[in-house]
Amino acid sequence: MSTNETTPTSASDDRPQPKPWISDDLLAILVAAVILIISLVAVMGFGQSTVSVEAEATGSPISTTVYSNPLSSWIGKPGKWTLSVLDSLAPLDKETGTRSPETLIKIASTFVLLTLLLAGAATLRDGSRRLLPFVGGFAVVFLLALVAYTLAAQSAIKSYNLEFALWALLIGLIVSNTVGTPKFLRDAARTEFYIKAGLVLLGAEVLLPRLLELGVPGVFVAWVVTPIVLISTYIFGQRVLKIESRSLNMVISADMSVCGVSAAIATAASCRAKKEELSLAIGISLSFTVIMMVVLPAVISFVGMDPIIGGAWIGGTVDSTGAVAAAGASLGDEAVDVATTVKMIQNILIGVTSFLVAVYWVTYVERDPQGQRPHASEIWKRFPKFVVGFLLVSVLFSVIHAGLEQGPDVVDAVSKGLSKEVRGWLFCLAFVSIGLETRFADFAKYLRGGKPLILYLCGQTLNLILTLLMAWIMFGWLFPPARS
Amino acid sequence: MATTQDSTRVVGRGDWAGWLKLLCASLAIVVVWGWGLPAISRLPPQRHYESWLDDHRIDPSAMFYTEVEMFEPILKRREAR
Repeated sequence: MSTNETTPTSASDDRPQPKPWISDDLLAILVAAVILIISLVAVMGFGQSTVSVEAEATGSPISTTVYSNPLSSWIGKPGKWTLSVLDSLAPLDKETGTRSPETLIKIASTFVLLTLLLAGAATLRDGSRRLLPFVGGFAVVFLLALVAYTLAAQSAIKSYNLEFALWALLIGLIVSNTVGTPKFLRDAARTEFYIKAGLVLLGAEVLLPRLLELGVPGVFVAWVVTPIVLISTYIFGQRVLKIESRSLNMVISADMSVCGVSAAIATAASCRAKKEELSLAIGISLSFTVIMMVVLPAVISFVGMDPIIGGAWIGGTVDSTGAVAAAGASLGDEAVDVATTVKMIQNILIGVTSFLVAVYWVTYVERDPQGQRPHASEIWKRFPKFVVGFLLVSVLFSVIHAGLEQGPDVVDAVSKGLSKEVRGWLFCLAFVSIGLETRFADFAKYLRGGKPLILYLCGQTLNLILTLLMAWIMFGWLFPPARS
Repeated sequence: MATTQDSTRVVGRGDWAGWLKLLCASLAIVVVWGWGLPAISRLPPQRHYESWLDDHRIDPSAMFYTEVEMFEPILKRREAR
């Protein structure tokens, strides 16, 4: 949360409000912790079952415990649809010929869960007198998010990597730029809060041992090139392009060099970027991802590049995770294996990136140019605490994943059954909220001179060259894969 | 992130132009999603591409690796090594 943010006032009460006793960062951590604890208790307490499987070595049956999340049948979002939007909300049961209400029930119960949690958080922060305006506004923001999710679930839209963030933003922008955003909606359009809570939940999916999945070659392709490109692009933006906003520069650099939308969200929150800066970075990234996911595999096939080197090149350069899978798979099994693993390592790097960007921001960017270096206590005071929550959750789930015999199954069930879906809804609500608080004119000043676009293009060109070079050195020269 | 709350506005009841714009935008969405995109999905190359994605369990719009079903067997294979 920005330090210059004012406490919002309700429609009926424009007097200055007292400072809340609990910060948004701590509330975001609290909300995420409640969701993760509920999910963990559900999995460990009610989701265990014993099944009999055939032992690989002997072939004789052995008993093993499997984990599932009983809450998964209560949390959901609109499903994929192709011809009729009804298939998204109430899919047709092919056997009975009737429409199943299961998805609608899941969406309704997700709404109830989120309303309870977020209204509780709003009450803790602002007191009970603001509870009703929040709940009323939240119901509308949730409805707009539902529309955005449904638009994003159309199969042609999905097939070209046009993520829900884009449609959520569009829906919010349409409302704010036509009839305007009513005051009662502003209470519930809590962008920063939704993003922070979503990021803390994302920590459960950032499993640190997976950073080493590809061994030494993966370390070099994902760990070395990614920071070099990020830092070079940022310096290029500051020194050569002289981009006025450091945070816009950082969000575009991270979005392009790490892993697209999720990295943009994490870095934007760490460096307190403005909402329209995050929207702009995501818009540019998604537009180029659509092009790259089609062009890059075609170039690789045309020049007859080794599929493993091609896969590493795709994994390290195509921004979006889903697009990497699609582009890699078009080159075959070997390529997709390497491409998806490189991208997964980059996905996990967002934890480290987010932390380092936050440290750089509080110690360097936000320091007083005339003053001395800030003390550790001052740095801690200004440090975005939700990043600490994000990292703690990541470490905790990494320990569960690596330390328990059934750790991977437990983490998988916790994430799949509840936290992943809730995280998606929180990000969708955040982008609707950004749209509700943004005018088209807000983008104009950033687009002047086309600097963000030039920054992205130059950074991506460097990324393409360095990643290809490193992929060739690692997978083509030093560690050529043994092929059976 | 910093707020830009001041940049939003509240329109009075008499602002029919705003409501008309909202209606037009909503109609555009209904036409594109109700007719345009399903028509694109019916085209043979697109239908082929979408079924290829389904066969490989790929969702190109996934934001994080945990959202791509295709990653699961790859990860299991790597973890088993």
